[in-house]
Amino acid sequence: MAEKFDMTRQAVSKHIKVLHECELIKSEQSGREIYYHFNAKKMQEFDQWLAQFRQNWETQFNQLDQLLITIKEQK
Amino acid sequence: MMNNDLLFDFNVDKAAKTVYITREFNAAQSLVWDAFTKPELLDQWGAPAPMRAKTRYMDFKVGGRRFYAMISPDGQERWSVQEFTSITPKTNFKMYNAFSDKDGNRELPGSEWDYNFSEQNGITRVDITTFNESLERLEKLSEGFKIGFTMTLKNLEELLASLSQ
Repeated sequence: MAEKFDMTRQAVSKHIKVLHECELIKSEQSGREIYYHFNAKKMQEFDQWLAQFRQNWETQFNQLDQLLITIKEQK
Repeated sequence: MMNNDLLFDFNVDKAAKTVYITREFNAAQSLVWDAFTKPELLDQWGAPAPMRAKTRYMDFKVGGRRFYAMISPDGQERWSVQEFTSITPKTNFKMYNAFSDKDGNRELPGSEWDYNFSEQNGITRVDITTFNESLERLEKLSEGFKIGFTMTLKNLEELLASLSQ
């Protein structure tokens, strides 16, 4: 793998460690070997998290529109 | 929709590890400023329904904090602490936001927030910038891909599959 990417073995290990921490790859121990699998679901989760974050703000801003109307009417 | 004419922008800049949110409001700048900086107003809109916001205390000054919870319909409370790092009345404030336990002990790292207010023709524009640690964490990752892995994730999957045979 290091050969394939023109990287040191240590660099590849580091990348794999970060990917694994973020759950973008899953590991599976088999005797002395560890197999890694790409976790497409996790990438979708991040996109969903962003979409939810946006939706939350949109909902709150609409609530603020209503509050501003109420306050202006009271004046 | 009642607010079709009011701008809403939401952009994610992955290189800057930042989310930019812009919204216009049909109200004067001083009123919108109050809505973002006074707890009795913040609690009326500061959580997306059916969640609600409850501020336990808020000391809006540089170095001061707001300690508040987002409460779900079934009564679960998610507490956060906001620390105000810079305030220019009516035009800008910055804060550091972090989740906390119910006693206000922060879970670091949190995220940095920058709020800008400006008014034109009776419409107030709010520009919000947030730098988020968890986003940064994910972005470090994608940068790692750009630098180290010139292949796409799909190709990586195939490679991992072939290596594991």
